[in-house]
Order: sequence, then C-alpha cells, then structure tokens
Amino acid sequence: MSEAVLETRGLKRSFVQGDVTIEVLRGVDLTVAPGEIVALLGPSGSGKSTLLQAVGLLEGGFQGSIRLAGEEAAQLDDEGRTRLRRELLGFVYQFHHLLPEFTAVENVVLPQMVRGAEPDTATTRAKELLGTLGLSKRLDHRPAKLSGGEQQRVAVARALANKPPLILADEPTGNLDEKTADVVFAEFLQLVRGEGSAALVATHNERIAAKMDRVVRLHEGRLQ
Amino acid sequence: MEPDAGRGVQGGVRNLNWTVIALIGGLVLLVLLVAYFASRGNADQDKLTSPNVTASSETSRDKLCASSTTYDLIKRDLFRRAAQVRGSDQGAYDQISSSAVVRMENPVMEGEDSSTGAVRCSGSLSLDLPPGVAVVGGRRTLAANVDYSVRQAADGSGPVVLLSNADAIITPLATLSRVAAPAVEPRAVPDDNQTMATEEEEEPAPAPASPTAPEPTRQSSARPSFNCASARTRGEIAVCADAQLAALDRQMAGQYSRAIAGASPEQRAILQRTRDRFLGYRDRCQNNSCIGDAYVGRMREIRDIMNGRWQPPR
Repeated sequence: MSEAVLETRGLKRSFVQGDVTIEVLRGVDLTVAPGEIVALLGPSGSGKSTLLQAVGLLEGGFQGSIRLAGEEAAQLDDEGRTRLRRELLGFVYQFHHLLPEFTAVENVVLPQMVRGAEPDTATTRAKELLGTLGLSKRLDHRPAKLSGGEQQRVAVARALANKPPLILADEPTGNLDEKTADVVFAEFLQLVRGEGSAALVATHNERIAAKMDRVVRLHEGRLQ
Repeated sequence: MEPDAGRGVQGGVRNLNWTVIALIGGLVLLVLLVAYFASRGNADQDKLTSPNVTASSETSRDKLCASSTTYDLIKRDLFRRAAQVRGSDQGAYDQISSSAVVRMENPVMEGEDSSTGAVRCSGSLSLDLPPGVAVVGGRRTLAANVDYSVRQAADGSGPVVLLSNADAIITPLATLSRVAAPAVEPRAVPDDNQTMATEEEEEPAPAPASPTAPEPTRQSSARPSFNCASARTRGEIAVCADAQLAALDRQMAGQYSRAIAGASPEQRAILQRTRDRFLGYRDRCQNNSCIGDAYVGRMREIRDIMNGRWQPPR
C-alpha cells in the first residue's frame, strides 16, 4: 500500500475560556490514503473545523503528530508549513474566499503562478477546470457577478488547480441551497476523483457524507 | 463741651463702626466671590491634567496608525509574506519592495490593547508596484481593506506592525513577475480623440517572464498608452518625456479598460464622467510630481468607483 497522504496520531487541541479548559480534540488518529475521499461527519461544534485547521497547518497550538505525504508537519516553522500547504494541499471553504478584484479565471491562475507556473500554462489549466465545471462563459467575470453556485465552483477549481494530493473541504456546499449544493457537490466529487486527489470533507450532512468513500465520525473529540 | 465732645466721640465711633462693617462686608463678599470662582474652576487647570494628557497621547497613538514608519513596515511585511507564500528568494522581493509604494486611505485608530500597549488600526491599503513588474493579469496595483496593530518592540528596537486581512494583496503579490517593456505601435495619423484614448486603450498582456526571480525595476523604455507623436497638451508632453509618468499612464489605462469592461451602466457613466475632470486636472499641472499624484489619485478613484466607495467631489 502506498504511503498515506495524511496521518494524524494523538492529535489534541484545547481552548481556555476564563477558568474553563475545553478539550476539542482529545487524541485523533486518522489516516487518508492517496485518492481516498473521506467524509468527516459531526454536528456543529464537534471540532470538524478545528481538525481541518490542524491538518491544513493553518493554526498552531496542537499536540500530537500530523504527517503529510510522509513529512512530519506538526513541529514545522511558519515557512515549512507554508511550503507544505503550497505543495500538498488545496482548500475549499464554506464561503468561497475568492479575491474580489480578480476574474474567475485569474482566481484559478493565481495559485498556479504562486507555484511557479507560466502564465499561459496556468491560464490553459484554469480554463480547462472552469470549463469542466460549466463556467466557460463566465471566465472573465468577477466573483460579485457570479451566482453562489458559480462562486463555489470557481473555489473548487482553484483548490484543484495545482493537482494537490489532498483537498481539505469544510462544508464546501454549506452555503448553497439544497438543489444547487447537490449539483455542485457531485461536480466536486467527480473532479476530485478525475484528478486523482484525496479529500477530507467536513460535513454535518449524512446524505452528502454517504456519497464519499468512507465516513469517520467526530464525537467528543475522538473519531469513531 | 463734654456732651458735645461725647456726642462727637460717639458719632465718630458710630462712623467708624459703619466703615469697619462696610470693610468687613466687602472682604466677606470678596472671599465669597473667590470661593465661588475657585469652586467652579479646576484647581489644576494650568497643569496638563489627565484629560489633556489623554487627548494628547490619543493623538500621538492615532498618529501611529498613519505614520510613514508604520506604512514602511506594512510594505515590508507584505513582500516578506508574499515571498514566503511563493517560497521565493526574499532578496529578490526586497529589491522590488524598495521601489513599490503603499498608500493607506482612511487610517482609523480602532482601539488599544491595554495589556500589550498595541494600537489597533484599520484602513484601505493600496500597493503600487514599480514599472517593469506585475502580478497576475498584468496588474500593478493591489488593494485590500486591512486591519493592523502597532506596538513598540519589547527590546526597544522600534515599532512592530502586525497586519491582517491582507490576503487580497499578499496572494497576488506572490505571483510577481517581470514584464517586458510595453510595445505600442505609433499611430500613423494623429487622432483628435487621442486624449480620451489615453484611458481606453487596453494594456497588452505582459510577456511571460520567469516567475521565480523577480528582477528590479526597469523604467528606461516605458512608454505611455497613447501615441507621443500626437501629444499636444502640457500633460501629454510631460508624460511622454518621463518614463515613470509613462508607466503610470499605462498602468492607469489598463486599470480603466478593465474597469470599463466589468462596470455596470451606472459605474461606466461615472468612469467616463470623471475621466474628463482627471485629464483637465493633469493638464493644468505645473510639474511632474503633480502629474504623478494626479495619476495615483485617478487610479484610486477608478478603484473606488468599482468598489462602490466613490463619492462625488464637493
């Protein structure tokens, strides 16, 4: 079996509020294989986003081990974490977080150029991804001119632009109506599978979770 | 005599009593008046009392939000973080940084953290890149509404700035690359609408350049967006004679074209209406500094129009 794209061992995170210490993650052991799409299921407030923040190397203050493509990441400095994020991860959030002054195609070109892609190559790849998501005629629109579903499709294309081994998605369709959410999520799954990326998708929706390869449940700070 | 003398003495005593009573009464009145005004005024009113000190130090802290030192630290932080995002050589970014310009509109002091002494500020930050480099889409101006805090370093080495909500600048800045000198074909026939064309010509896409090694500014071959052979106004002639102004003109023309392309009918009308005022202002300038400021102001105006923040000049 090839090396796991993500492996956490004994991952813990607590927050102090006044005199109270809240243990959000109490030792999470999780493995995601290359190309595997895993649903991280749990109610609101169960720590799903905290876990994604940890494995996305977006926050410090954690205890335990986080290995990304075999590299121990938990103790890296800021520069090292940035490097791993750039090389290994793509993010999709509940809200698109597209850059408002840039067009759809430019938003997808951006992460590629950050990784050193030539503008022409990056633009071709961006158009291809956006075309797959049905946005060929919306390439030059800014986010404000796109619908919520279209904005989220652009965010999906942006996350996949660099063909990252692992996509981290936090309620990626949570901001959309049910019908649009189903369509966008189906396109998201198809695209992730087509690209051969793995994904860890946080959701509180059982129906959406059932569409993925495997479901893990976060309960009282531990996975079940 | 005695009785008269006695009457005289008694009368003198009586007169003296009235005089003393009047004097004492006057003194009492004076004391009361002094006491009254003293109670109304602040005993320490001639000192720099706490309200005055507070106002003064608030003014001083407020200035921290808008000081050139703070802006310089912000600029350095933008380039440092962009280099980190890209995983690029910090030195190359530092070189560009020295020629870039940051502007902060509406810097506001939001509050103060009493535990650290940090002053919290917010403002609309713009970063103007020097000619010769650009980010994705050929842009040379990036903007974001940012929050930042300023405090004195614990080791006494000077102020420290912590910047947040600046991803709209940092991420594109991580795509920084050198662009080829713009090549504009001269027009064979002078155009009566040349001045208007200044803003309407689309900026050519930047030539592909190595994204891994941003190079220092090259300004010598910059040309404006219009044909200098037909430059007639004072502003046009000045722009054609100065590479930096020419670069600003191209930058603004590109921004204008992109704005027009994405504008609503209302925004388009404002963009076109304000264009004439800008050109008139530019052409009345007596020196290059004024012209440069006019271009920078115009770019800010275009951005405000597109962001819905534009207000008609009073």
